[in-house]
Amino acid sequence: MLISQLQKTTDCIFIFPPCSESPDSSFNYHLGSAYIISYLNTQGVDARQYIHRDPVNLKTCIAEILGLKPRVAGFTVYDSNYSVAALIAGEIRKSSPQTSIVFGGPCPSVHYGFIMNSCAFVDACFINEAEENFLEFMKQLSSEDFNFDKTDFSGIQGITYRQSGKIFGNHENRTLRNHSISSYYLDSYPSPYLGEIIPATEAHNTGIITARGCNQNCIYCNCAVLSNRRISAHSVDRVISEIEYISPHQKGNQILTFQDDTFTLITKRAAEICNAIIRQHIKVRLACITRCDCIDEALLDLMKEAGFVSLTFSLESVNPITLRRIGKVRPAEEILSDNLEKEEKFIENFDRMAAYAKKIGFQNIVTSIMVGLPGETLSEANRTVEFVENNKNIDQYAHNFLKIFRGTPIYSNYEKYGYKIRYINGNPIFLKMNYPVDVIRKVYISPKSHLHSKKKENDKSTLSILSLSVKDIKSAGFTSIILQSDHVSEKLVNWLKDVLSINGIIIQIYSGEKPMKRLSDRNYEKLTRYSSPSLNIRNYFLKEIKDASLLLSSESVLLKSCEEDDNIKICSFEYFRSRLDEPEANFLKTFCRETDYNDSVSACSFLRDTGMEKDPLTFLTRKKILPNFASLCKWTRENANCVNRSTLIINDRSEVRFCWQGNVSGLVGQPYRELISSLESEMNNAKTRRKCDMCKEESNCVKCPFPFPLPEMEYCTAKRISNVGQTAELIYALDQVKQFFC
Amino acid sequence: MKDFKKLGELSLLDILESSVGREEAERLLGTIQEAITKGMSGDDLKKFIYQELCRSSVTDIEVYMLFSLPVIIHR
Repeated sequence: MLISQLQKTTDCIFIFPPCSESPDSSFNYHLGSAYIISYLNTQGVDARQYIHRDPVNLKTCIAEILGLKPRVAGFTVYDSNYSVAALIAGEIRKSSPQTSIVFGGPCPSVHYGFIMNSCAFVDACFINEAEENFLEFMKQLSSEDFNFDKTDFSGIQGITYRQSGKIFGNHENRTLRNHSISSYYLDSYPSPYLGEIIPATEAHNTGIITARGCNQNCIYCNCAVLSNRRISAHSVDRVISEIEYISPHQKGNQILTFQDDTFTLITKRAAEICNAIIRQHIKVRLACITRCDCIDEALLDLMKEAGFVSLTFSLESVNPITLRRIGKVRPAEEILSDNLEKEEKFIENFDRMAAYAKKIGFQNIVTSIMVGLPGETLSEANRTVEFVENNKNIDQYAHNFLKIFRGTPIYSNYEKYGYKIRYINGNPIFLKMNYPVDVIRKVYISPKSHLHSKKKENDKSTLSILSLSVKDIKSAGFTSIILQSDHVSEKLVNWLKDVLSINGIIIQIYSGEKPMKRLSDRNYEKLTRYSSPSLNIRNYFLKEIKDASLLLSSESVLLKSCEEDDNIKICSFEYFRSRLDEPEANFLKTFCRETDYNDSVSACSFLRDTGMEKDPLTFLTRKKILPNFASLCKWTRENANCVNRSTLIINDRSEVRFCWQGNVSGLVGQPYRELISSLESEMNNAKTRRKCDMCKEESNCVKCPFPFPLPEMEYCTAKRISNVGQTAELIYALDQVKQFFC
Repeated sequence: MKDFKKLGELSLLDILESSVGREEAERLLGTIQEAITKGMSGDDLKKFIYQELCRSSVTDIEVYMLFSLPVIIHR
């Protein structure tokens, strides 16, 4: 029995901080750490995952983690959550110096040297697979009563650690390399699902893994390097037992993803898994990544029958010479031979396999391409994009720009191809690429690309944040901020640690395109340098058009998608009302603000007139889709930011507001509590002034403290004597249809 | 991919009908009307509509990318 079982502590808490590119701000399950937890648990170590579903701020997050009294805090670290992981880890060290802090995952597997040298609060980094090495680490640590400095870690593989200020390490990790694929060594690690570490209902998010490692030669990728080009697999029986257990818990359209680097690397094994699923009549919808040279028609037929609905082919380029240079089909050569037969065949196969997959009914065929590859010209890169765009069998593609990561084969000689790499704040985890040709601006990005989907999703969520129509979530801290300023200061970033939830959304609205282009990188550097709780940043700028403004994003510029209907339009209420019945008017991406008294009166009368219709529901559903409104909340019962306190608006004078029309509730730098008190005081004063307690609408009214530009008494009268409130609630409710389908 | 220029020119009813079919759209709106008549409003109505939409919709995996981050980061 470990000491924690006697002292009600936890041996190890695993923490997977949200990644900056992800819209999700929760602390979720992670398949990799669940494997380790599962293994540790069966060996008597009390390990568990820190889960927090709703957005959470730094203070609450630290309190919750330390409330579990962990002896060890283990972080799952990627490049995209490194900054937040370091922030949380640093705070844990300050509050609980006796808790050992360990980083593992893809980022420390490559950057362990930098992390150990720059983060004094990190006691150890694990490199590559950690099930067995972590168990050994925990055993050694507990045998010394969790005194890190006294413990002997010298016999452990794949670790670097700090003792008495000095860094030691045994970076080699051969745990999985000494076993052949046919030994199914991976089966010695218990299933995170069968052991109920991850609930089966979460499997559509976390996926399963049937094999680890990659045996390919791509010079831009770390997968094969980290696995030493060896594959370690689960037995077919083990894979099937997991799928069989998970499948009844999959709902509706949920898909179970095979997270293998390439599921069909060994086609015979892939076929065996498919056959077993078919034989056992398991009903499941599946997805995986594959390669066109590791699949054929017969396997596609089997996969379809087994339940695969979505396939992603990694393609990268349709130029044989480029494929040869990057080692996509066979090992890359320093001096290229003339024979590109294999690469040409690869491209032909891609075309054939995608066509066949579509023909037999796969619902979603996706591919990935990369531009900016070694030696690639602009016309070659554009040819790849055009090929994917014109291929009717491809539903979508990932438009990637080559990034040269430390540890990849190309990292050792990238300069000879003309690349330059700049590290933001000298941190090799945050790199900025400079390509020999301008692939970012001069390569066409097709509407089929994931970048267009991302812009669409971001704009939709931004509209929702701008209209302050927040979700019904219990959050510690604000989940988003709207920063109307060209600048980010150290003071602002430090203040965000108090007020913004971890990975909360930062919408920065620049005064124009030029300031955005000039300052956004510098602002990003400040956010990383001063450890912002979020790097989930969306950059926008305003552009005036006739009678309205456009809110264009950095993606609008990248995608050259600056047309009116492709972007968020900001207009007055009168602009909307006067065009509502025009056949070509389009308010899908419109944000409507009341600009003056007349505009407010117009909005109020629109709501009142709609409410007086014989059947307001039918009236509204037969009208064109309505815009998002800035001030509709004032007519509702409780659907307002002053009640839900989800978003803060900050202007370039560092003044903080809770609503577009609201008074200043504080300044950047003021504690969270003070801001809330100031708002509550405004709300209470308004209620007293208006004698809300005596009003018949008291229980149906949000009692907006800032109804401006409508005078207070007119606001109260309209709320009391008309049905504007009911109409406003109905518009809010019907917005669900728009959110759902558009 | 949906054409947003066209979507914005449609009514909610058009979108409902094209997404779940005319019959289901009518049933859905009838159910919402019934809930409103019974006095449901605000967040309750919002949640109710969402649940009904989930029940009615058989949305295909239109936007599903294995190379998207939410999947990659869970590996």
